[in-house]
Amino acid sequence: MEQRVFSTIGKVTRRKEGIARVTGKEVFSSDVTLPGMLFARVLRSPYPHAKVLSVDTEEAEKMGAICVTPDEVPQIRYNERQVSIPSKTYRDRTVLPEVVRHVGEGVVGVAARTEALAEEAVRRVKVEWERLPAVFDPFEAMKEGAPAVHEDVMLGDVRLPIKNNIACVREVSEGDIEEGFSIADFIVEEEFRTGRAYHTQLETKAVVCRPEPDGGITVWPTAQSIHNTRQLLGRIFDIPLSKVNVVRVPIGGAFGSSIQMNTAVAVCAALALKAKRPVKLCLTREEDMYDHCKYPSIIRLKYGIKKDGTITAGEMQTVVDIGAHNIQAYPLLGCMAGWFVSLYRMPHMHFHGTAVYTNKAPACAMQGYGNPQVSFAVESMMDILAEKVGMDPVDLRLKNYVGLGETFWGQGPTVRSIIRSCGVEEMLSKGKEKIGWDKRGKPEEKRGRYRRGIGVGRSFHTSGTGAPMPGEVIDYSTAMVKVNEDGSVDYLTALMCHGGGTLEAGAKIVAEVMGVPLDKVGISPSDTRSTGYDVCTHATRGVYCGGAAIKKAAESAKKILLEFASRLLEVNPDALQIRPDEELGQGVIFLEGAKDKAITVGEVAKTAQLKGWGTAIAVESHRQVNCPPCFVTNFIEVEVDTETGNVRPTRAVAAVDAGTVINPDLAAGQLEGGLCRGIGLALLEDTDYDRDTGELTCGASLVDYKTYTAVDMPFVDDLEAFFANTYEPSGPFGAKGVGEAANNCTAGTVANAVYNAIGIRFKEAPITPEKVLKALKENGAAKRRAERND
Amino acid sequence: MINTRILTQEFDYFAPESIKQVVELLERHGEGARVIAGGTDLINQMKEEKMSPSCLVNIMNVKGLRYIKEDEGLRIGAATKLRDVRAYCFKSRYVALYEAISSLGKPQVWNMGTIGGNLCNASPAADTAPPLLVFKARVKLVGKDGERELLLEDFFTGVNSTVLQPTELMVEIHLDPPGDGAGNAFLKVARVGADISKVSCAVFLKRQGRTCTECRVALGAVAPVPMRVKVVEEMIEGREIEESLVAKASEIVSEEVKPIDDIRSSAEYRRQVAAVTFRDVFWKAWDRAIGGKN
Amino acid sequence: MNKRKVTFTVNGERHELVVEPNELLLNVLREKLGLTGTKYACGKGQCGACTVLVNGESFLSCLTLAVAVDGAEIRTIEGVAEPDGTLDPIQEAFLDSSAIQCGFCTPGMVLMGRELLNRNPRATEEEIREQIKGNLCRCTGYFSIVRAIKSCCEK
Repeated sequence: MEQRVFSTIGKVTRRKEGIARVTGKEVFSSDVTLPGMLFARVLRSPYPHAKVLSVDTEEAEKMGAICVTPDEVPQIRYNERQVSIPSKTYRDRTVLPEVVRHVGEGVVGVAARTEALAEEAVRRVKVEWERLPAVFDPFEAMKEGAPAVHEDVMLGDVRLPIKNNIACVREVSEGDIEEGFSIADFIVEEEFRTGRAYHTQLETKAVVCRPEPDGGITVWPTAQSIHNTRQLLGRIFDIPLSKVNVVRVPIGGAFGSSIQMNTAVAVCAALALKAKRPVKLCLTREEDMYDHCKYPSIIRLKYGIKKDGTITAGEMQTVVDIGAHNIQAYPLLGCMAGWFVSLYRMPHMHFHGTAVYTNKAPACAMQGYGNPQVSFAVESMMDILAEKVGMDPVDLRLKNYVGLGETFWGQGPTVRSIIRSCGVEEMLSKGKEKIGWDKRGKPEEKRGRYRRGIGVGRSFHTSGTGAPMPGEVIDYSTAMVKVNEDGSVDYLTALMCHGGGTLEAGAKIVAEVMGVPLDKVGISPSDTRSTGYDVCTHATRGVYCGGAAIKKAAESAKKILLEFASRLLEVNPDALQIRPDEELGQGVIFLEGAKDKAITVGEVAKTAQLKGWGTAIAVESHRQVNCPPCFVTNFIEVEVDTETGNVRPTRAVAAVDAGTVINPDLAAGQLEGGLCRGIGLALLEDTDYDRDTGELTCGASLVDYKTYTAVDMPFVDDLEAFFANTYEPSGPFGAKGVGEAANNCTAGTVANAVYNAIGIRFKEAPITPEKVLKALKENGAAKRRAERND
Repeated sequence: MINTRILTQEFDYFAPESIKQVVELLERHGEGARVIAGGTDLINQMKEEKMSPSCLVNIMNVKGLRYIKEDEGLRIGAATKLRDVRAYCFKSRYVALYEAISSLGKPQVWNMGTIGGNLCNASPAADTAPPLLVFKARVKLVGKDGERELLLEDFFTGVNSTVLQPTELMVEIHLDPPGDGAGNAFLKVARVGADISKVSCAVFLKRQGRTCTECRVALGAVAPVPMRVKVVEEMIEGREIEESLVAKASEIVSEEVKPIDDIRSSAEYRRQVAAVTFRDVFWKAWDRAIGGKN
Repeated sequence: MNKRKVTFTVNGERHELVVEPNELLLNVLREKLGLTGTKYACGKGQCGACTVLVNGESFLSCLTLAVAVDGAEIRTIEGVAEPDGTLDPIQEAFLDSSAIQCGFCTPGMVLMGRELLNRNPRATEEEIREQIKGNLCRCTGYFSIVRAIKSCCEK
């Protein structure tokens, strides 16, 4: 039976990590300090493409510094991202390469007693370079004769030559695309572009490695998956996994930036193993900005639509500029196809994606994994199509969205499942009311310098990557739950919390199952030695997949506990229940209707210990066989200053269908944060590279890479976040994810709002004031010309 | 690649307590010596390795460099913190300076940074410069040969360069009294909050009825130095103010500025928005001149 | 470089240290005093994660020379709660408003909130936004942080 009334789930609580975080006691990777620890720096390439001819570390070593060079590290090619099966994993990285492929790629690691000494030492290392021609534009890169970023890479165990810098290609078709277009009344085709945004997670990537006396290593990294880090280190340095222990450390923001094992980790491990002392390596902001970024995409989109608003066919062609390394472009392209087909129903579809190498910082997942890019294009197109057929944009969406009972591709074509919960209609209709959609007016009716417009956008994200059949993507979690002798409960997983409240949600799930107060559930410190495998806290899977494993373990532990209790109460265990008793600060096991048949959890656990019955403890691994979509809807109002081109978000309504909401305030917080980052993607954030030097034009610092500040956001009363009232039958207590979904539709929504304000369609994000003002001038000139011709 | 977590440069450090000692130290250490006040610009430049002084002379302990007083206008000690200047100018006759500091940096920078520091760093986008230019500020410099005073508009010589000699110290900024019927305002355009200006503009004017009797206009971030636009001032002074005149003046502003393309904006954009910003600031100052709302 | 002896109090505790002129307050706090609640995140005074209070005023410790705060009274995030662990109202507000996500900006944000309340216990939302505009948060979009500080302001 579905449980819909909860004692702990859905309640607003103070998160458990909170006190450490408001008092400065939380220890992040960059705060880890060990006795005898050395500090590391990395010599990085000043060139976008060059061969290392020789390395001279003598001067640095004279200072007492420890150095590792490319010839001292295993030249094993690896992929830092371990989520696909080996035959679908492209491997083009080495710990320290002999050929550098972007400015900032590390070549020599140096460790010394202090950061200042390490800095001095790294400056004494001499490298002789042979510069190679570089390429920065993906279309240039695909031309015959363009400089080759990689000659070859490994795909599984097979050497794969790279032609024209094409890292990988993916093509997906359903139905007959030509047929689909031929039955359409209108065919619309447009091209959209999104920027090369940078994660700007506040903590730069950091790691501490301690070599152990038995030849092993202990690692404290910024990571979204401790097990993947462990597996990679074991393979690269040929250490049995039982001797590689990776510790879960709170991370100062992720957004995908640590979804892979960070480059710093392998360099630091090599240094620690050589130095035989603990070594700490924290990237500077400059280094971090050369380490990773969002996948910038060029998306050509073509839709066929009937006069009545029925979409008949859709075709997407995308070119993704992945930079110097293929971290996860193949699954990315599959996911982009999936985001495309799962937004709106298309009887006939075709997708073609190409990932291209360039001599720039490598792109990796950044909140949404291609979804904000696809949704920017698709949601912009929905408004274009609505105008074409003369429909309200909300109605067009209602007519075509993929919803209840339909098939959804959670992670590309191989991860399909059926939608069993859907709040799309509720969110669209409530959101319309809240924002005042019907009063938004038409762009041509708006006058004056400051013009306001309202846009709608919707999207979704997959909750995890589970599917009925094992596909190309690995997905499962492991959890342990145990009842302590005083009635409190510990739970242990390798899941991460990036800030959104994943571990708090896990604690609530345990409290709910075990019937104990939330206060009495402890989140155990976690490392790879003590935990079972968990793929990664990514893909919005923490609560839905990880939470399901936690629930399963809690249920197993509860079963043991009730069996112990049944011995004491002389009642059949199946008849017993547990309820939290706030006064006692404990769970109470009871038989409904029998006052004398009640006992605290603590008493049972203590008695079980004293009598030698054992501990109520359970470990479970669990794979979800679905990855239900958490739908999101944004309504955003912007104000365009037609004289400066500045676009200011003034009001917003953000809604999510996350099934049962476990942490309401934290889920709302994710919506709010997603909104802010999404607006950044729409209006502000991008990076570019100098074509001569290969350097970031923003100087790789936050002086000129801007993210929004508090004064740029709407006032708190002008923002409303709400939840659809749904229940996901396959989720723990009906829950789905929130995480990435929060920002997927925002950029498209903003573009639609700008259109509603000034009647200009921007297809290239970010929509900067410079672009807006230019377009307004051109538009004005065109209008004046048209008037003269009348 | 630079390391912004630490300062790699090595230097001697002094924290003298009198202007005389500062000048002596600057003299003794020659070209390699630099004055440090709040350090918000200087430490950044040192981290970027654009500057490597052999000696830093901290002036924050120097007596007689931190004051704000009314004396034939407003006299501000060069090491007065931006927060103090901002607080003094709030709802004062120098509100443009309040507006400029408010938009400059953030509270931490108001607490650390000084008004003299903002000027001596000589960024083309220094936000205190346009209001000080329109208040006809003079700066007092002290060196081994004594004092000299010059107009702020003669102080800047280029991007990050001024007439300040290596052995000189800025000690005071002196603003003209605004007088009756005066209004002033400042506005800037930037990417986000607490950001470097794409364009900034300050206007000071006096009015009698519909006539503008005095007008000064200055812009930041649109030329190598913060600049006055005297052509525009001349075309406005003594004239009855109408929308068409201000519109025409704003076109001249657009022509007079010499902006560049950089990471923050384009020359073309700055040119257009300089005109808009001027117009907005002008009307704000105009309204204020008759006691209109801030 | 002329090493210097500096004396300052940190969270009420007096420290006498010998430092090089080029040592930044940020690193002295983190490395020498073990107060790692003060964070490095941009190194250029752009993000506010390194904020500490110097004589009650918010400073960017990544741009502050340790020698320059000789004689000062410094408060870091570790010194906001009472010595017995009783939380400051601003810390309570951050917990109650769920204004903490990853927690890396939190020390700076809490200190900015504390400074504002000391100066202006009746701050408006606009003043709160201005107060934290130099502190970047990538997680929350700032809404919950503004609500937290607002909840501490007298009506």
